[in-house]
Amino acid sequence: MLRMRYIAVFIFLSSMIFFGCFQATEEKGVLNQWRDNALPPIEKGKTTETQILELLGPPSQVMNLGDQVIFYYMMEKTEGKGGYLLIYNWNNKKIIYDRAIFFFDKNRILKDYALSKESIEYEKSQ
Amino acid sequence: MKNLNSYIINQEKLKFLIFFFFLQGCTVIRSQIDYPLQFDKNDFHRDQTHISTVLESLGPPAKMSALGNGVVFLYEYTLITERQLGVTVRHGLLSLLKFSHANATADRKTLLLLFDEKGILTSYAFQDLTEKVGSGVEGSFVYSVASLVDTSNLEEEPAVFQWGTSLFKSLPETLNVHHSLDSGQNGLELKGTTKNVGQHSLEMRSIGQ
Repeated sequence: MLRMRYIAVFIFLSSMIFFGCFQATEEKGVLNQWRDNALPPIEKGKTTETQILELLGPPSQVMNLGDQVIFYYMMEKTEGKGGYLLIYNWNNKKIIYDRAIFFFDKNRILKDYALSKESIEYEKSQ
Repeated sequence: MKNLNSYIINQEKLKFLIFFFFLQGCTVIRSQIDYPLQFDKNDFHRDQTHISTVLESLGPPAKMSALGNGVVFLYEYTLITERQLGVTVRHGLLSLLKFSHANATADRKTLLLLFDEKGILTSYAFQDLTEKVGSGVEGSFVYSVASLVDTSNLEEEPAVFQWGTSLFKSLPETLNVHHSLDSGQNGLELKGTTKNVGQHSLEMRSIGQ
């Protein structure tokens, strides 16, 4: 009986000794300046294509839709976490997207825009 | 009677120890891509809802493309879960080997919305399903932890991050680039769509690519 207990304790301790863990983050895409609180207000029917480019820089993708132009900005953040024990391991990866989309009419005035519901914390570049 | 109870309890403990003695390197691998869609079909009405309402409600889509004079939006959420059961034989050098069996499932929420030239919703489709993605078996060194199921087709990164590598594509793929479903001008496709049908079949990729 005592021997069994020793074995159980040995297994538990072994799984603790052979322990490893990690956490990693990776970011891709354009800087999410649309989350900057200091940004001047963006207004439908007033803000121009040039102003958006000046404020946010080059978009991730520019699309043509009839006589409209679309600017699509995207930032991707990958968060990875994991733990390795002798008996049990886990590895979780979460990819978050922070997006902004701007529709301009034929006069290059902002017609519509939207920001994603999920956001990545904005960190001003140095 | 007391001896019998004690015997049964000891048997249970023995099974428990044997169970833990053989189990090794059981692993759970999870990949979550994008955020879960908060879709309510009562918010969207065919031939009524405007593109601005959709943008306000759901934000920018994961993918979009011009479609005739209109536009198509695609929202996708994917959660891949791979569960591995690992066992080992604790005898000599065999104890350094681990045998694993893996099963993977994907929880997917997909919403496709089509708008006409005035930005009015003409049709939409929403799908919320859990599907089996695959399974695998391996024998490996005891401390290795790796995915046994290939789910890369569900984890493709957005096309905008592939500008550089797109220059090194094979010739058939390069020739087909004007019809690419990633350009935003020729429609789009769901994650996980096989490359051996439809527009991509012109790219003559080998099976599995």
